[in-house]
Amino acid sequence: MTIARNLGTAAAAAVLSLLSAGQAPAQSLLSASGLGAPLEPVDARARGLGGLPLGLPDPTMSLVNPAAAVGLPAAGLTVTFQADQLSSVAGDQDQDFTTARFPVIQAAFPLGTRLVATLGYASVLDQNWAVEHADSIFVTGQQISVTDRFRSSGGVARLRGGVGYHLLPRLDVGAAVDVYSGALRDTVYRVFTEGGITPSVTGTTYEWQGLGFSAGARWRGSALSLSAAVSAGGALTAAAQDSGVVSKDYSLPVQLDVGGSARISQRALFALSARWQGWSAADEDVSASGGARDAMQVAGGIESESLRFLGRPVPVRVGGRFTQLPFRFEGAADFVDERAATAGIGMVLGGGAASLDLSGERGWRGGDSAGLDESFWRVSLSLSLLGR
Amino acid sequence: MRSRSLFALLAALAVTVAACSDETPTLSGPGSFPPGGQAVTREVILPAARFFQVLGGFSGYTDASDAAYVVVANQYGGELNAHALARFTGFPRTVTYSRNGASKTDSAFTYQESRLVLGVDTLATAGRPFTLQVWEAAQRWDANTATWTLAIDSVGEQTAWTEPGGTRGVLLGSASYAEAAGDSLVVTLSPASVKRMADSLSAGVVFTIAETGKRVEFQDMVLRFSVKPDSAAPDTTLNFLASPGANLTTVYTPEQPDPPAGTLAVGGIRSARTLLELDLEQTVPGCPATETCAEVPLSQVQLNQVAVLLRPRPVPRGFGALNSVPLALRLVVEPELGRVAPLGQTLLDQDILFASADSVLALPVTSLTRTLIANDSIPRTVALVSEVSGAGPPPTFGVLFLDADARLRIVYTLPARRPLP
Repeated sequence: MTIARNLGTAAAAAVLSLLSAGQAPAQSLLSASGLGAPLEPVDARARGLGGLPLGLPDPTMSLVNPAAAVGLPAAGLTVTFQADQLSSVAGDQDQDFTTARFPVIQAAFPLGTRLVATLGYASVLDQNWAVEHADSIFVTGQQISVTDRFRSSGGVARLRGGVGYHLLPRLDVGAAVDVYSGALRDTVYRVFTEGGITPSVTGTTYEWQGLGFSAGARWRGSALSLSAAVSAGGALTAAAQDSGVVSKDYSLPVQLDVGGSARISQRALFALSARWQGWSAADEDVSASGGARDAMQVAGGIESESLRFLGRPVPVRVGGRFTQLPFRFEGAADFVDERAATAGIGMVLGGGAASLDLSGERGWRGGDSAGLDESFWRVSLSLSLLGR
Repeated sequence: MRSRSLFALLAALAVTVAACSDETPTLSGPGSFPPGGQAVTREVILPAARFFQVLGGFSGYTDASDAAYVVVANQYGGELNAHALARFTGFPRTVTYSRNGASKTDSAFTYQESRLVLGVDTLATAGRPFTLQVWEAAQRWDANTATWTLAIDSVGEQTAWTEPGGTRGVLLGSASYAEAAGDSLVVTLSPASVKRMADSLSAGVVFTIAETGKRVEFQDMVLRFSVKPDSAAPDTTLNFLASPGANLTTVYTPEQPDPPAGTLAVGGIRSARTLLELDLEQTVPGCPATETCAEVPLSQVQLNQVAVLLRPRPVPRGFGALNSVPLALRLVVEPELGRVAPLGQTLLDQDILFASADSVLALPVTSLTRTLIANDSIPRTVALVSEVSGAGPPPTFGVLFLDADARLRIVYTLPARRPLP
């Protein structure tokens, strides 16, 4: 029965994965800068706590800390759905747009009482953006109107396989291997709006390839929990798939995450995390598009279980986040920072066989010297299933 | 039950995603394009020597009896004379009418004054105003073989006109067409004229233009006539229509001219065609006009438009095309057959109408060029013909002469590749 249920959830995950793969969402004009807009591989619970990547005391599926899944009582699957509504102002251009995506899908399989294997797939960099311009050119003896469009579509994703191990009564450790994949497709259009001239469309495709490694640990005390994770890799390669273009390597950043949580009352938890990403390693690689900097993030929040519904606790979360983004927008003087306030709620379903988490965010990016101003609303929904 | 609830949740999630629409953040303005991310379009004009060879010109595939129109001209262009010949059918031998509720048939009746209505193709007409004259034809003729000098030119019988251009009898009627008249001309015919036309021994009518320097084209004609039965009440008249049907042709002189050396001919009443060999696999500069670089084959660029440019030349003897000439380029698989080489599929990107006011004829061959680049086993020989859709009657009386010093215009876009960030 358990096997059948696991197969069912796996099939459902596969369907959702296919839906995700068929979409090309973009979450910011920053997709046009550097290697794209960074995406966070966290679920709705973490988003409700400010986007906290690690630091919670209970076993969770995580694409940041390979040790986080240690202690899961049964095989599980988490699928996260995310929808954004953005307002963006860059120079004299302003626009609103919406996106929807599955930013992260995770699965964990306990192997005995001390070992857990994890598998996850998440978006890392978003490279969907476009430029459009109406102009005219002189051909066939007349001035003919044209519309030029450049479209970048694709992004970098990461498949992570890992293991976690309950090393000591209060200490869990883990390690993981990241396989980077994805594609970047540039398409250049010129449409002649008169003169009966056939439009031209040319395209160039790169495939992203790379390998990375990660390690993490979690220490769980009675009222305090601490976590740390590090990930690093060699190079992220854009492998040219067409003649006339060349492949290029980018240095993958070292990423350090530390976080912790403390029970501040019987029914309330405070969590805080910090992150450092060494994106400056790729500064020279992306110097033509404004360079890259090391980026910090601080996120934290409070989770309270004071609220009850039908006799069951309903976790309520609030949080906030400050993030330095690694790439500069269109030659602006400063890099872009992001701030967000978050809130969320959770619900346990099916006698603990499933949980549903919902979060909302209000965020802002940029500023005058950053070349753009963006504000966004984001809703995240995570469904976790446990095969018990 | 629990599994069903979980599945419903997953399904709801999937539907939620499917309902969302993604929009790509889009910058605007030339400054927002990444380097190399904007298309560069170029235009090159190649001389005839690089791509164009005339294999031969042929004519005589149609004659006036194939045309859906008739032409009447009087010394147009100083030389062209043309008369239209028509023999109307549909005259009754008896008429039937109703009197006091009873049907009556009478073989004795009297023709009334009637109207011959002709549709004027104003775009194919030169020289207004003009006067159209309708003469009784005084000599039998054959619509399929009649020429300016021969009334009948069939196997076993060859009869010359007593009067070249159609032997004329009495003048049946005439009408003036004003400078700004519409697309129809009405000739009023007396009862005696209609009676002569209705005679079973009638040879039909001959149409001429009274004034010199005119050329008029008629698309159709119909005789609306009335009769009064002798046995009917005085106020009883019966209306009928008579039309020439296939008994309609044009005789003209001189013959459609052949093109001088170095000139292509296409169309006209004799359906001239020219066989050409096109070498469209060319090379073009592989960089923007501001740079210097080697040429690259067309397969390495994006073709936006390829066109063969031809300049019209004057046509002598009054045979110039007055209206738009529909043109087609047809594949010729066996050019060695010359005049009788069968024509294959049409090759132009779209139908082309060459108007007499156009200074350049552009034959769009973008698709043909792409096909030739992709498949070098396709014949390069084509025929430039005038047709509406496939083989058929000659679309225009006038012929089009084109200078053989053609140009090949290639509008292409260089492959745009931005360097990676």
